Amino acid sequence: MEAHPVDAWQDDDNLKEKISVGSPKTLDERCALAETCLTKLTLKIPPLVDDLANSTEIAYTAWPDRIYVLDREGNVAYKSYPGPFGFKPAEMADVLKRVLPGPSAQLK
Amino acid sequence: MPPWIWCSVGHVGKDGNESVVSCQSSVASLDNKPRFRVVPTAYCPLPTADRSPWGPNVETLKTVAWYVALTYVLMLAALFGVMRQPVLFGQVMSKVPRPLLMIIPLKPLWFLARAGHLQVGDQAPEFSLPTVDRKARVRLSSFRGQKPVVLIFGSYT
Repeated sequence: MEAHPVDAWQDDDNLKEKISVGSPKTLDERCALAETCLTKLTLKIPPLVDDLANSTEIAYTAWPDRIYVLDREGNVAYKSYPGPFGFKPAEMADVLKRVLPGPSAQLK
Repeated sequence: MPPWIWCSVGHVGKDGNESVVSCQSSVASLDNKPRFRVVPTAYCPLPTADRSPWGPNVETLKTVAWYVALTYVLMLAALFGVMRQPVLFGQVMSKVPRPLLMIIPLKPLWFLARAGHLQVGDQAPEFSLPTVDRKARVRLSSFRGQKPVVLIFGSYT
């Protein structure tokens, strides 16, 4: 689900960047937008696309942006505050250092 | 009925003070005892207990302030409800004048409204979503027991 589509709350920053996008009505439109996002932002993260009912967004209260870190058992190890105010990748990095298997984990 | 005093003035002295020659009052002990000095502007103060030290305009201001505060709280409550519905939020915010955002505690309200129910330590909800090219689907549970997973939610705009 777009945060600032032209048919809702258009953002000044998007206007400056000449990003003018409407809310996608089909999954194909949503996938096309995601591909544009990957290209423009040169993202290397493997992206997945939520369904049009936004069921994953609802389950995670993820809109407009949010970060989760899950441990190896699939439990939530970190949940950021909702973006844009709470979107802090540095916090995620700190948690990742803790949950990723490192030298100390291998000793055990 | 509030307490009342009726006085008749019998003499105005050179200094401008007036002598009260008779009084009738709802308070029995004041009857017919010339114990008052009244200023010539005809100002008749009420008993202290019934008199506002700030005058009637302050009462009006208090009422107005009360309604403004009530309106502000109702506005925050409405905004809180709207924040919980992303589609509606975008439509509402597109019509909200920007200066209004300066008097709203947007960040704490946003954190509260978008807190969600999922907590640290909870099992992450399962999902199965397509990749961008729609050639494959990824199931979250396929990573369970293998390695940590980072989920970064966002959109293009």
